[in-house]
Amino acid sequence: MVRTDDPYWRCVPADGYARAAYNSEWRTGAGIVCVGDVRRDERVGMDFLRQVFGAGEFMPHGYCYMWNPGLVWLHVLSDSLIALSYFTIPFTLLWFVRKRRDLPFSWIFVLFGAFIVACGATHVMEVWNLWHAQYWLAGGLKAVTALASVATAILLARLMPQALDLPNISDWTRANVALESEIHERRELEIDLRMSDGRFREQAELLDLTHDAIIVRDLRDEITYWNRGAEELYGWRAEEILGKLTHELFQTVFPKPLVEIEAETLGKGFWEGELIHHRRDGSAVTVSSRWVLRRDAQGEPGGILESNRDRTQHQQEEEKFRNLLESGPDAMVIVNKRGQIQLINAQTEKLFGYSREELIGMRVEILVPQRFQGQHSGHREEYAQSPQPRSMGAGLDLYGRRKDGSEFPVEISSSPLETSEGTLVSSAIRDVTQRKKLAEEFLEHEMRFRMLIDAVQDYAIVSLDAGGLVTTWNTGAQRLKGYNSEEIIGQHVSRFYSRGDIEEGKPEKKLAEATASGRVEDQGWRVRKDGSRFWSEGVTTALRGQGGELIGFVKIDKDISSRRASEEQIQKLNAELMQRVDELAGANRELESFSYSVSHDLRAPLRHMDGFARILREEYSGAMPVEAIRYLDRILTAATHMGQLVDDLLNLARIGRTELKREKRQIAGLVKQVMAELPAEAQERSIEWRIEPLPEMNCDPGLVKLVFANLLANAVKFTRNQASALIEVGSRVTDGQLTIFVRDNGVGFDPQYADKLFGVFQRLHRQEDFEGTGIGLVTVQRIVRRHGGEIWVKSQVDAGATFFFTLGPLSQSSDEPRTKEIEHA
Amino acid sequence: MHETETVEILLVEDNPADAELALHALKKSKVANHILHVRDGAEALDFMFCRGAYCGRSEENRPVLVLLDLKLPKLDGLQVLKQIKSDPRTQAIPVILMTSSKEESDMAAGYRLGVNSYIQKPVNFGEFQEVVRQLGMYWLLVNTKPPAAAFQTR
Repeated sequence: MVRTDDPYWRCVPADGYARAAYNSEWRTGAGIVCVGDVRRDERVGMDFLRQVFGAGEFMPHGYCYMWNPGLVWLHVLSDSLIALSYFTIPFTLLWFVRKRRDLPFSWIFVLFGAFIVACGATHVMEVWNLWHAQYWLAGGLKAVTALASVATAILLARLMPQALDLPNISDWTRANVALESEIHERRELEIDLRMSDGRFREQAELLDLTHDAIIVRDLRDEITYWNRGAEELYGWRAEEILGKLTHELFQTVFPKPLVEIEAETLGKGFWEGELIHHRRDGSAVTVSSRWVLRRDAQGEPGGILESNRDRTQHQQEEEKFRNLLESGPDAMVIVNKRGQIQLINAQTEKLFGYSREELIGMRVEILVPQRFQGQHSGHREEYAQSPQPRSMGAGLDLYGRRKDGSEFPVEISSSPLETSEGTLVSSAIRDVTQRKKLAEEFLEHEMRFRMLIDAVQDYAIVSLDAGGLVTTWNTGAQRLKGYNSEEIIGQHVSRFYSRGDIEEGKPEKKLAEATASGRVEDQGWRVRKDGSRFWSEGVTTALRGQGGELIGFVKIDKDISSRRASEEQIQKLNAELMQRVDELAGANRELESFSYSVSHDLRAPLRHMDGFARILREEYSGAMPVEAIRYLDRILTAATHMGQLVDDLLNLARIGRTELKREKRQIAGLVKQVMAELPAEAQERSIEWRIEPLPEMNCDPGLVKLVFANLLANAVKFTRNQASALIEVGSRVTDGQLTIFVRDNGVGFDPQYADKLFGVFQRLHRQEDFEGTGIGLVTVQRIVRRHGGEIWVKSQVDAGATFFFTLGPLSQSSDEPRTKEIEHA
Repeated sequence: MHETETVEILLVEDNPADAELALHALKKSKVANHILHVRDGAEALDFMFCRGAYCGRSEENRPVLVLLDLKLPKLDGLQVLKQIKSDPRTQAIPVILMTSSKEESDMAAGYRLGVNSYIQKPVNFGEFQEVVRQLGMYWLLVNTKPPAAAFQTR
């Protein structure tokens, strides 16, 4: 199998040579490669590889052993076994290292493993090169092995001191014992810790609860604790901030050099003051800061607990407080326990006339009148013992004293005020001058009113509560009902009612009516204390409060028994009168039938007298003496007169009976009609008529016609002897009243008898001078009066007569034509 | 009842004096020869409706004129008037109320019941005589009597 032309033949196969070859290869191999690299062309790389992995000109190592089979196999077997062993060791080591991760220096095992693998590989190479002469490769492997060996040797050497520290077995045993006791201790500690952990967490939570920013820092200014308040105030979270330097972080502005502050903290154990910090967002915040020095178990300073409160908010609160103080309507004075004024508002300055500067620090008694000062401080001290919000001086009149010494009534309410400076007392003081005055006035009014009510004698004025029980009782009530106020106050109103009324529930009904409609009037029998009765007239008025709720009633009663008696009398009289009216109506009916009889039956015999006398005179006058005829004429005249009387009386009676039928009528037209119907004498005689324009009037034309008929007939009759008779009719308006007149220039009459003129059957002239029945003017007067008017007359003997009459107010007459005034009326 | 056959004027008057004066005046005026005087309303109606004392009388033989006083015994003038004017057999016969009453109510009632004339007797007999003469002339001579057809007979 080995050929003589094999290039490996030229290799020196000795051990010493091999070792030397190692060194020379180490030194020159590269040189050769480099030389080859320079000398040869682009195929140098390939040649190198061929050189390394090829046999080249070397002869296999077996030649050195002369292919002695024993020797060759010895080498082959030994090298193989070594390599095999070497290859297994690293696996074992790796397995060990993986299993015992706690062991220190595990890397040395790995290194050791690599070094042994490399050694194993060199032995494999020894076997290989017995037949193949790849000494370059073998050399390379050896070089790698050498590197691993050297490194392992060095590192192992370096590891030795540490390895020496590793405890030996006895150490381990001791350590174990110690460990066991430690484990035990630790277990106990763990229990403690678990407990204190709970407490710690609780405390931490408590610290988180506080609104203040709480920061703990060590003496190097590194933050070790940061509560939620701090997170909120500054904006950083605890995990971002722990370990940072406080003052760097906050860019703190100190009120005085930090050194001094720290010295103070170390000296006194704490420091308080205001700092300006900067938040995460860069904004500045003024905080009121309190630093407390922490000491460890040995009493050495360990750190600082800094608790910071946002003053900005505090300042706003203060502002609010101040506004509250200033905006109130009352004077506010805040006093400390010793009675010194701490704070006042502007109202106080205004009310008492002192300036703020004058009052702050003064004893509060400066505001109290001299005579009350002693007792005031006593009261104040009492109040300080058990301060509670309340009004001061209940039931007492309190006074304030101004700077100028004047006094004024006040009302004070005080309440305790807990502050960092201790308990203060805050008092609100109100000037009640006006109110007091009003109250006094009200009281006076009330007094007067009470006296007034009490003075009322004739009226019982009683007030009742909503349930009908008497609450006040005046003199009039006592007088009227007999009870005095002590007896009656608290009694029910039904006590004044009669048994019957009470059974009907009248008292309650009346109160219910008053409640429903506000007031109720009532009349009825009421009972006095002595049981006697009186007829009462009264009114019950419901009283309501501002909310409309029923407060009670006021009941005013008057004894109207006597009035009732007179009323009863009047009623009786009225009834009598009605009876009389009925009787009169009956009489009137009788009169009517009487008039009827008169007109019918009285006239009949007259007719007969007249008729038969006339037949006698006409048919038998030839057989009668002149004297007889004259007597017949007297009979006829008497019958005619009697007929006239009957007619006139019937007219008069009819006017009283018949109803007035008013209508608008021209008076002038009526006058003309009357003139046409006057007796023949009027037409036959020469009479001057002056008829003025006359208005339209609302009247009973038939009756007014009768008026004119009578008046004109009279005028004609009484001017009979005048040579030139003048009869005037006219009208005039006086005081809104239309007066119509009828004037003649006849015989007239003596005015002293004027009142007789309108009497029935009254005559001022003899029958033989001027005939008449004495009924005409009575009829005229009756007609005028029935129209609501009046008639009167002016006359002188031989100077004529003027009759004036009205027919009621002009408003009843038509508006036009108005008659002009008659100058000569 | 011979005279009832030719009665021209029925005079109803209870007062003998009035009746005598009326008859005197009528006679003097010479307008009628046959005048029957009855003294009360009942008799007047007996005559008009041919009953009682006048039951044998013919209804065809009607008076030309009835002169009726208001105040009458038994039935008064208005009641008599009402019966005459409400019966078709007699309602066409002229009736004149002659009375001393000037009462409006009497006048109104008379006219409502259909009286043909209403005359108030004047107290003065001369005037009365004149009135009687005029109405006799008018109703018996001037006025045309109602025809038979104006009467409804049973």
